[in-house]
Amino acid sequence: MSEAMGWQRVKGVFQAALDRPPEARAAFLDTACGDDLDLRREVKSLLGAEERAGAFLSQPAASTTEEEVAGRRIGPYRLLGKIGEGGMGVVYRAVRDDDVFRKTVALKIAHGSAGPEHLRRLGQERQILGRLQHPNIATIFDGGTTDDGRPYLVMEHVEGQPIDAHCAARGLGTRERLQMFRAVCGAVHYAHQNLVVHRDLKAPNILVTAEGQPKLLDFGIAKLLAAGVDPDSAPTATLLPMMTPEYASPEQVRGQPVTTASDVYSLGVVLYELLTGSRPYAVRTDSLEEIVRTVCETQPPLPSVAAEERGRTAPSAASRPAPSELRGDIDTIVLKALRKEPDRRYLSALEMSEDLRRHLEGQTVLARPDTVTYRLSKFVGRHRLGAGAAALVLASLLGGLALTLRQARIAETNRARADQRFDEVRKLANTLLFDVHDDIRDLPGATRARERLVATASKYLDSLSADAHDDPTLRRDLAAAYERLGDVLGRTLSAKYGDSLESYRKALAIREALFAARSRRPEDAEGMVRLEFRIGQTLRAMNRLADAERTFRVAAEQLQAFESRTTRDLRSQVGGVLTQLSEVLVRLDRGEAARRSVEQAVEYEEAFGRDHPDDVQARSELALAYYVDADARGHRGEHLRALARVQQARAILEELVRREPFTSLFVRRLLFSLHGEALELEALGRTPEALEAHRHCLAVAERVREQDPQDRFGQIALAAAMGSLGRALVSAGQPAEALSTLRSGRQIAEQIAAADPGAGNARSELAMVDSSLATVLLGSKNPVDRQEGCLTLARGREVLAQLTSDGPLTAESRTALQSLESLRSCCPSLASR
Amino acid sequence: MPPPLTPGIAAGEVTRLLQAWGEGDATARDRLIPVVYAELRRRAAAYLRRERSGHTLRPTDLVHETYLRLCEQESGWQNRDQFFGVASRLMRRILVDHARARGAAKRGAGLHVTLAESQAPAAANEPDVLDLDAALDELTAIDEAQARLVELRYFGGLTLEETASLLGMSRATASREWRTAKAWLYRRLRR
Repeated sequence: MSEAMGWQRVKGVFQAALDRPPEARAAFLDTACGDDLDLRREVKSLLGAEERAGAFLSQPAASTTEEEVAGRRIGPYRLLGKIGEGGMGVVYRAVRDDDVFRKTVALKIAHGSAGPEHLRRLGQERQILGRLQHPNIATIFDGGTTDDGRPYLVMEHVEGQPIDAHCAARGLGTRERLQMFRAVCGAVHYAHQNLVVHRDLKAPNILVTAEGQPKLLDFGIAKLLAAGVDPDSAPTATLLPMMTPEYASPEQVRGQPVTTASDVYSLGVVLYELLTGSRPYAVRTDSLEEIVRTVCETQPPLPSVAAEERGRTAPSAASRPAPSELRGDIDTIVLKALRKEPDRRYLSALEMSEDLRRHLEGQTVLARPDTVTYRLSKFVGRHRLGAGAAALVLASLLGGLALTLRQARIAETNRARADQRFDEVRKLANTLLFDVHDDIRDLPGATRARERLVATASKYLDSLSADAHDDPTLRRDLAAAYERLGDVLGRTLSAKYGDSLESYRKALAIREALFAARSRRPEDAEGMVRLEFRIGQTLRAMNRLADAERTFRVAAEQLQAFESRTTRDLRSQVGGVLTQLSEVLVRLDRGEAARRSVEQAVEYEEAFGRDHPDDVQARSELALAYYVDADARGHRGEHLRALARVQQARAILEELVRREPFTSLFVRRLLFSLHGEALELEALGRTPEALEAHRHCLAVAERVREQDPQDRFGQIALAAAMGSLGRALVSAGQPAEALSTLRSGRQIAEQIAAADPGAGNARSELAMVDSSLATVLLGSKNPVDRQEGCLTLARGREVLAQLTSDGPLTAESRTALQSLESLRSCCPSLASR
Repeated sequence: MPPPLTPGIAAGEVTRLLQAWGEGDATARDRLIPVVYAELRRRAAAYLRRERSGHTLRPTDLVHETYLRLCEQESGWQNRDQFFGVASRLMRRILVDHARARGAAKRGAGLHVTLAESQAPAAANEPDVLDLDAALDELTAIDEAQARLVELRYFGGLTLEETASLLGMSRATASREWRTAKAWLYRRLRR
């Protein structure tokens, strides 16, 4: 083979790999290169070079100097001059040539270039950021990519001074500073309600205009542009070097997921600086280790103490808050925002702002200084362990307790003492299992510890069951603990649905025995129905539709049987069971049964809502019933009515999310409704709207996933959103984007399915994605694509064969199967089999 | 009235040569090169003088100005593309000559060739012109189209769209080829 021919092959594979998301490239090379190791090595080496090349050759020979920037054009914008340069990019003043008002804008160009998948995400993020309309937030107008593939953003150009400089220059007093800071909190809270996290809040990003109006710059774009530096690596990890470490929260310097709580922390730093003239920590090193140690392990001085110190070392004529004004409330408020543990800070920027308002109005503030309750975490902190490690300590403690407990039972010498000890140990164990688990649940990075805790707890519970024959209180505790364990296992990405199911079944067995033997107490009845319900949901997630249907029917029958002893809790479950049952019936293509059942569900939830108008949970149940009603109508072909219904659902859920942005149940259900709406628009042939809706849904799913990457739902939702967008793009005749989207979705679904073979929902998504991928690839003229198409086809059929052996297929899986079968003739090696 | 360009070539001749070349006359191209080269160099020298007052050489400006100067308003877009193709290659030669002349060929010493010492240091990612020139010759042997693309974009300062139209590729293909060439050259130069 001549060198030139070799190069053509290398180039072909290399360029095909470039079109795929970075994480899918290794698998692609396996397929494309087969046994040709030289080819694989060559392409891999080029891919590595491509990744590192960054801005290489991005400026034509002989670089330009600043004044020559003037007149350069980026898209429809003409640059006027450079404003500044940061870790992420360069900012220019610019005007839009066709803008009759000649309004000056700020145009920020990232240093690095971006791949196709990354550009797609950038576009989505930009849409979301563009929706942020707040008087204290600099608006994002537009964006795009430069000729050499570097992303740029166009935003409001703000003339002003950084907030700290402004306060100093105007000689503002404490009160005025606090009031201005409250406006900043308001803007941050508004963005959080729209699920946007700033990630890089700092004084230089908060400008105050000549009119005294604070404006927040760069909302959410830290990630947007930073990822552009290296589209292939984890965004968070690459962010740190570009942030100002003094403003970064402990979770940020550790490279853990960034949440709204991280912004609250940075707000704490800004307020600290505004009031004392210094920052809580002085970071004087580039060493990541040093930064982590400083930010995560040292306690900042009280603001009042820092202000006093500053007064001594840097006396100034300018008015600065007096230490006496800060002592007490302000010290407490600032330090609450600066706590190491995200969940011990203010729950929201609004809450922080409200506490400041209380202080300004002379009311009692809600923040309390740290108490002895937190000694343990302090102890752990001093010993250089993270929160995750603290939980590990507790998990082993719990293991020890189980042993002690058994020993106590065995020690028969003093029966009374042994019983008393048994009781104490049980109480302590309950506290650890429930309280500790809840405490660490939302802590980033605590997953491994959580798994250990759960594993230990489950061993502990089993050993406890052996000793609990005749003690109803203890058995009730046990049932609750198994139920909780089932919840955790069902939610965690690394756990298995099968284990969750087993735990629920243990809990159910205990509840049933109690209910039969004892006084048929309502709390046991409630427990039984709730457990049947959870078991049904888990079976549904595992795609075991027939089993799920049976279970929901049992739950519905039980509810009827318990009618005489109806509690509010039982009544509130009726609609939920009907709704879930209807959804399963839709998947089973039992249209008529689904219609009857969902009509009942809607009727029930509407009535329940009228009786309990302030119950937000009930509102969300009603929305879910509307969503399933839409789903059922869509399946019957009543797309217009389905669309109206699902829009009703969305309106309710959007209102709930606005009201309680941190309740994950509402955000999840909102995702359902967004997805449903996109599907209906698509079915109605309103393609541009449908694509937009799919993209919006995907963006929200990405956010949900980001909030807790270990949460299984977030991952599955993301895979499903990508799959649906991909399918819509196929129908819209955009195969290139469809391919990259479908591949990304497949990647995620495959990871879930690999971690838990019982994850039928992920496998079913996998089958659908494979069927769409095969359709696109086999439609291509490129032989490499067609070869991949046949492999995909074979793979998809295998997945479906497995699904079929688990029980009836969903309506969607059956469609996928049909389309795969019809494509078989395109692949000679498969057609005969 | 513009001064005569190069002895022996009348104004308007450049356009005619471009047209002849477009119609397949290879000798037309050979006659064109010295003219364009002379004009580019003259302009480059003017830029280099002006550098001291804060200006730098920009290939895009040079190529565009030279084109306007040589072809006035007579040529169509087709000719303009051809012209830019030639000019980019010549720009490469001028820059390489310039680098050699300055004795800046201190390979591996980390000294990047810039056209003026007073200028801010070039972007850290800017390669040594002489190294790049050699690497481009190697790339030409393997994939001539890619090497042309780099010449047009890097030395000619053309945009991706202009390059794509000149090479008769779609924008997507040009972008893919550009990324491939960049990766190849990067690996060649940084290894």
